Amino acid sequence: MINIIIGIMAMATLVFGGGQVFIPLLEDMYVTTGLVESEVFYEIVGLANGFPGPFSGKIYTYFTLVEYGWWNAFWVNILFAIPALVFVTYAMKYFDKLKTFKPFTNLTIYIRASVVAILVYVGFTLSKGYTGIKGLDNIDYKTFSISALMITLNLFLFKYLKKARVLCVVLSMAVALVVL
Amino acid sequence: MFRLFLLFLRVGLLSFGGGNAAMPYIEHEVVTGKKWLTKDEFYELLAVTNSLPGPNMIQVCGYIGKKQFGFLGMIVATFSMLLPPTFLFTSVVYFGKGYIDEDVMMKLTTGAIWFIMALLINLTYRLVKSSFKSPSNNYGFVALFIMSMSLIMIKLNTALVITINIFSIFIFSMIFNKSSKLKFEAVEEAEKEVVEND
Repeated sequence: MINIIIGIMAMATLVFGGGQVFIPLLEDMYVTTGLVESEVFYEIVGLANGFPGPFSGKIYTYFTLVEYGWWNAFWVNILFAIPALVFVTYAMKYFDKLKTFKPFTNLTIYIRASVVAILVYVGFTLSKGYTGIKGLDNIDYKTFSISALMITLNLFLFKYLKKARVLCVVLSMAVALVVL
Repeated sequence: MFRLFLLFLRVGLLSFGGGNAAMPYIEHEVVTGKKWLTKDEFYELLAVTNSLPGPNMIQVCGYIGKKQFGFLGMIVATFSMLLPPTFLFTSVVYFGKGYIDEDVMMKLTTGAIWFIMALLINLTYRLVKSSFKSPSNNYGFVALFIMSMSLIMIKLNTALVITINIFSIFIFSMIFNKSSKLKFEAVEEAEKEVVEND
């Protein structure tokens, strides 16, 4: 449980960008430590996108429940929220001063580079298991083509289904069930 | 206070795709609907929360709650957004997972991962677009991206990668003394444009 607490605090205090950027840290907390298998982890990551609400909250709550029970699953949410609320309270209060504090403004600009790097890494990790790419010389072309098509379709639909992105998830899952 | 609770309960139960996807809905409810914030205040809040570590959805909801009803409002707004959808998902999956065939589960996961990958591409594009719009950031951005990718590829813990980046940026800022307010305002404008076009 100590590892989970440390991981939750690290996510809440160090990770910029939110949402999917938390995936590698969640993987470090639950998969690398041997608590959960990689396939199960990505199953839950996938399912989490089919449900509403904060992405990382669903994942750490589920795995904490499975390993440590309902009460601990509740408390990790409190733990996760506290640093975020403290940060935003003080940042908004002193925002005008912070805007002229060079290290802070440079941080807000340049930290995006590491967020982009994490997103690219997450993309590569997900593509290995779920888009037909099992290795450089081992590609399931049928799955790969369908994956590429569906990802492109989702990107196109994002523009027109801004308030109904759940339809994108439902469509993708339906296509996967029928075609794969 | 009950209206606050209901509003953020709706936000939590209707937001699919994470924090960034929920922001237009929050803006519609809080700025256009309830008029609890002006548009400028909302965009300033977005700029601040995107500059801070941690979950920006919790930060946005918590701040709006605090502005309306103080500390108690912050607690109500945050946990009415966070807890119901989190425990809804957890309960459904915890109790229902055993009834679904493994093969079906794999296919559902694959479909959801396609959606996540599209989200990742969309988010990456928005981040790069808003960063490259600001003057003289490009070389620094590329250099930090390459450094981060290299550290990630050698399997360094993600939290450590981010910590190293934060320290690098701070040290670089201390050594090279250049005007920062102009750059930040350019980034704010770029963020605003990206959110408006989303």
